[in-house]
Formats: sequence, structure tokens, C-alpha cells
Amino acid sequence: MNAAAGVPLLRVEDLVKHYPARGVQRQLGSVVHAVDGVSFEIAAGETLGLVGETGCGKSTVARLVTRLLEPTSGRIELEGIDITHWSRRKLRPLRRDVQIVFQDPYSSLNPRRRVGSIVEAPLRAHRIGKRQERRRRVQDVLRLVGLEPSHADRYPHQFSGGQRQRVGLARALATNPRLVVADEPVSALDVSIQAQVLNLIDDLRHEFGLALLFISHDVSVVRHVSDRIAVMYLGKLVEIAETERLFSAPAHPYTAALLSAVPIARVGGPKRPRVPVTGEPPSPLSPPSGCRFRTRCPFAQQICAETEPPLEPRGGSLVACHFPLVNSP
Amino acid sequence: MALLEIRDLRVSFRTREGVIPALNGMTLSLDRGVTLGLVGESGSGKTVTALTVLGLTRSPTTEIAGEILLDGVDLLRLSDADLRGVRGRRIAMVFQDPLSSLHPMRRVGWQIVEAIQAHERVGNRAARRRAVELLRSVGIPGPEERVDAYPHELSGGMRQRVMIAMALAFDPDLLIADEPTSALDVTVQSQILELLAQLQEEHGMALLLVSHDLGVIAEQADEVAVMYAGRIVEHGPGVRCIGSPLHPYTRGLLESIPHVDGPRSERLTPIPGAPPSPVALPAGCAFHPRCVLARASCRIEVPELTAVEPGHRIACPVVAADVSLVTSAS
Repeated sequence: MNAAAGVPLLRVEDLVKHYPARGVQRQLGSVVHAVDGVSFEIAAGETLGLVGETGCGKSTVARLVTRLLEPTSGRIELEGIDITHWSRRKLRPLRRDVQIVFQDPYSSLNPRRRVGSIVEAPLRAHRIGKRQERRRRVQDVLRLVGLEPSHADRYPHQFSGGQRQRVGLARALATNPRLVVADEPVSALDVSIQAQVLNLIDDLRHEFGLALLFISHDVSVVRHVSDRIAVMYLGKLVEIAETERLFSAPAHPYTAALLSAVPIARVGGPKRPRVPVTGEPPSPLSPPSGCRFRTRCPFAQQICAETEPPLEPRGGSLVACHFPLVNSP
Repeated sequence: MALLEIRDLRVSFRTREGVIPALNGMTLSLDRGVTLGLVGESGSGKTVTALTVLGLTRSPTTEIAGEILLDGVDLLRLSDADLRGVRGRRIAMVFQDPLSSLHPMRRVGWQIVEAIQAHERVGNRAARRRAVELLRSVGIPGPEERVDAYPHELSGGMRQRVMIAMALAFDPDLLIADEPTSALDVTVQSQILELLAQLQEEHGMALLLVSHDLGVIAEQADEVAVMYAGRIVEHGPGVRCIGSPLHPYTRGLLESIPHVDGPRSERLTPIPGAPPSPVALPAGCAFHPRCVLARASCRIEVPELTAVEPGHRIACPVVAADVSLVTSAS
């Protein structure tokens, strides 16, 4: 928390994004419930991990909080100021403070621009500094992310995947933001390179006191970087907890299933109990009534189909479950 | 005799930009009934290996040298027609992306029937009955109805089950699964991996499991082979290769991944640098520019796979010398 004011850097309340469905479904008036009432906070300097499987709405959250998408309803506050409905023009100065890093280091950099120009773009957009100062800033951030200042004259295709992701990070950091939203920033990278970029993100975070919304499907990567973790399933958050707590005592059956399904690259360790989940996530076109995980949950009862469990405090975590695995208050 | 034996396999592709070598002397053997995990990063040659075993890289612009022996018969010397008799019957394959491997406009049952009839003279009725049975054997609920489904009507996990059903149609001796779960979510992945392990046991087939995910390999494979720049750098029992790896690359890989359990490490230990471009491989050991143990000799000689203990071989003379010192001293 921001000790001075007690106001979180980012606060998201009951955020909803519905898309009209495609094809035949559209004529039937169906909507895709991509994000369906998501609330969380990020304090200054804090890293919140957002983890979930394909199609659960993680990336939509990233685009909503950066205001690249219009929410259907809900509230987005930056340092206590409601920016949900601010116009693009009014948002402009705020974009310095909130930057985004995308997953694919190949499609997120303009192939026809030199790296220096790509990294400088946000500075130009915000009319920060004179030309000479901007150049210097570009060289500084390139060095910061472990590239050479001379790389500014090269094109993206002359870099490897890991290096391109460094360029993406440099671009995000150029304006000295306070919040970076990173959407699967290492998922396209091989493990030996992934470790380099994760360490870099760690350094930058500590050095600049950056707050980070780190989105990934990879549970072990999220665990490595996050102070707290929010687990998302079919458009909803099912659990938010401190990283250590989430992994030592997952409270939501889905969290437990997700953690136990991750194969571990180790031998001879104790056999982990598998939480049996069957089937696959239902379609976000017609999510189940009540708890959305109930169709796959080994503990589901009648009430789970009737009443949607609210996200409430249980044993130090926030959990949305009628029968949480951790039940102490 | 090993079921599959790959000897000094070299594959390169002629392109407009020049010749691109993908495999540079790959040597590997696989026994009956064993699951061999083939692990490596993108571009290391895992998929080219799998495709070449099946003869799917054959083309006028591909140069292939070496031997691929299936029960002693060199698949590289077989005619296309003879190879077709092996592919699908004795060796079957499951690809990464079931959506692009299935025909989008045909019912899945039709596709399985087609695969069956490609190898055997079976009537439509009988073939369809077999398709239903195959779908049942891979855990598809309501196979009598699902046999008439189109691929888009099935979930990702169900589609992959269809691909597995098709691969098992002729009870193959060897199933090659190339990143079979990489397009799936972890909760679905664990179901598919469990199914593969169960089917392998039932059919007694060998499984060549290709994956970039060390966790998947560690949990599924009896034996592990690690690839780097078109060669095997370490091959041995899973407990050794994952539990106490010897090759500096294998060790680097295992140290660079964050874990889902155990103490949370402050920092990861990445492998410095990046994998080499296949057209500009470093001389000698291709890993030497990124290796902490590299010596002058590593820049000159391409290391051969040598046994450091029974069934455990590494392509690193520096480590191998150390290991033999230790074992001879004890």
C-alpha cells in the first residue's frame, strides 16, 4: 500500500467486458463473457501476478486496465482517480505512467523502424525532452535492459527473441512509468532465455520501485516474480493471496488443481497429491450458473449451481468458494 | 536389439538463402516399451528428428544422410511405397496442434476410417465400428455420437484424443508424440499425459515424447535425451539426466527454470548468450560459447557421445574426464 495516502496505485472494481459473439451466435444475441466482475488492487512497487488458462480473460484485463479496451462496466482508478471514462486526450499524460509489454516479441515491434526509434516513440509521443535528450534516454534504457547503445541503429529482425523482448521492455521503461502491465512477457522465449528476461524484470522492478501486473499462464513463472497472485477462471477471480500462502495452502479447488497439474522437472521428490479435475473449461459464451468452476470441481454441491460465491476473506486470502480448502477466518 | 536406432543422422534443407543444417550427426536408440523424452529448445532439431523418422522430410531439397534402423531395417533406404507401409502401422505420430492436423470439413469418424482403410481392406461398417472403439479407448465420452462430430465441435483436449485414437489404429510399435500437450492448458495436459502413459502400458509400445518442457519430460519419460544444435548432448535414464545431470547444457537448462514447489529462489541462473544460428554453428562443441567449463580444446573438436556410466552418455569430454577420475578413484 502507498503508506503516505493509503491509496493503491491501481484499483479495479467489478470490471466487466462482454464482446458480441461471432458468426451465427451473434445473431442469437450471445455475448462472450470475457471478464465478468473482476476486482483487485496493486500497491506502488508491488507485483501482482495474474494467472489462468487460455481464454480465462487475463489478456482482456491487461487491455482494460491500460485503457486499450473500453470496459462494459466497472471502475478503474489510478491513485484514487477514476479514469474509467476518460477520453483518449485526457488519458494521454497518464500513459507515461502506465506502460504495457506484450507477449510476442516478433509482432509487437515495427519491423521497418530502427530499435532506437521504437524505444524513442513514447518519448516523442509525450513530447519529453529535446531530441538530444531523448537520444540519450534511449541509450540509457537500452543499456538498462542489457543491450548495447549501438543497437539503436539496428532493426528488430537483427535480434533474437530474447533481445527483442528486451527492446519491448526498454520501450515500456523509456517514460519512467510507475506501473507496467506485462502480458505473457516470457512465454514466447526458450527457458534459457526466459531466465535472463525474468532476472532483468526483477532487477528493474527493484531498481525503479515499479509496480507490475504480471500476466501468465505459467504458474511457476508467476510464482517466481509475484508478491501476490490472483487466479482467474472463466472471466472471474477465484482467489487472491500472498504468493507463499497461495502455494503452501491453496484455498480454491481450482487453484489447487492448477498447482498440482504443473509437471515438475525434478526426480525423487515426494509424490504430490493430484487434485482430480475432469474435462475442460466451458465456453465463455454461456458460463455455468453459480460458481463457474462447479462443472469440473470434485467438491461441488447443489448450492454451487445456485449461488455464485463472492470473493471473501478466508485464512488471509480472498477466495470465491462455498467449500474452500482452507476455512479458518 | 533396439527397436529404433538412429545413427549419425544428418539432415539439411536447401533454401534460397543457402543450405540450412538441422541435424548434425544425431545418434539415439530406443528400446521396446520405453518412453524416451527428447528435450531441447526451439530449433534444436527435435521436430526434424521426429519427422525424418517418419520419412516426412523427404524432398528434392532435403539432404539426408546416416541411418534410421527400425528392427534393423534402414528406413532411409526404403522406397516411398514401402515406407508408407511402416508409417501409420508400425510407427505412428501425434502432432502438437490437433486443430491443424484434422480436416476441418470432415467428421472425425470419417477421418479415422480413412486412416484405417489406407492400410487395410475393411468395409465401411467395420471400420466405423473400429473408429468408435478407438474413440472409447482414448476416453472420449459418448463415442457413438462423437464419431460424427466435426473437429470444431470438440475441445482442444478431445481433439488431441482423436489424434491419439487415430495413431493407435494399428497398434504401432513406436508412437512419436511431438509436443502433444503444448497447445493445451495444464489441467488438460495432465489428463492427456496420463492417457498416453496408460495407453503405452496397455499396448506395450515405445513412446518418443518430444517436448521443450522439462517438467513433462521428468514426469513421463523413462529415458531422457537432450538435444542442442542438431545433436544429442546427453542421453540416459530419467533419474540421472534430470536428477543429477552431467552435461553443462542440461545442467544449465534445469537451473534456469523456476519451480512450482520447494523454496522460492531469489534469482534464476540463466544460460548466458543465446542458441546459435544453424547456419553459423560455432566450431567444435556448439555449446562452447555459452559453457562455463569450456576449454581451448572445446573450440576445435566436436565431442562424441561417450558413456560415463552404464546407459548414461554425454557429449562433453571435460565432464566425462572428471567423472572417470572420480569413479576410478573410488
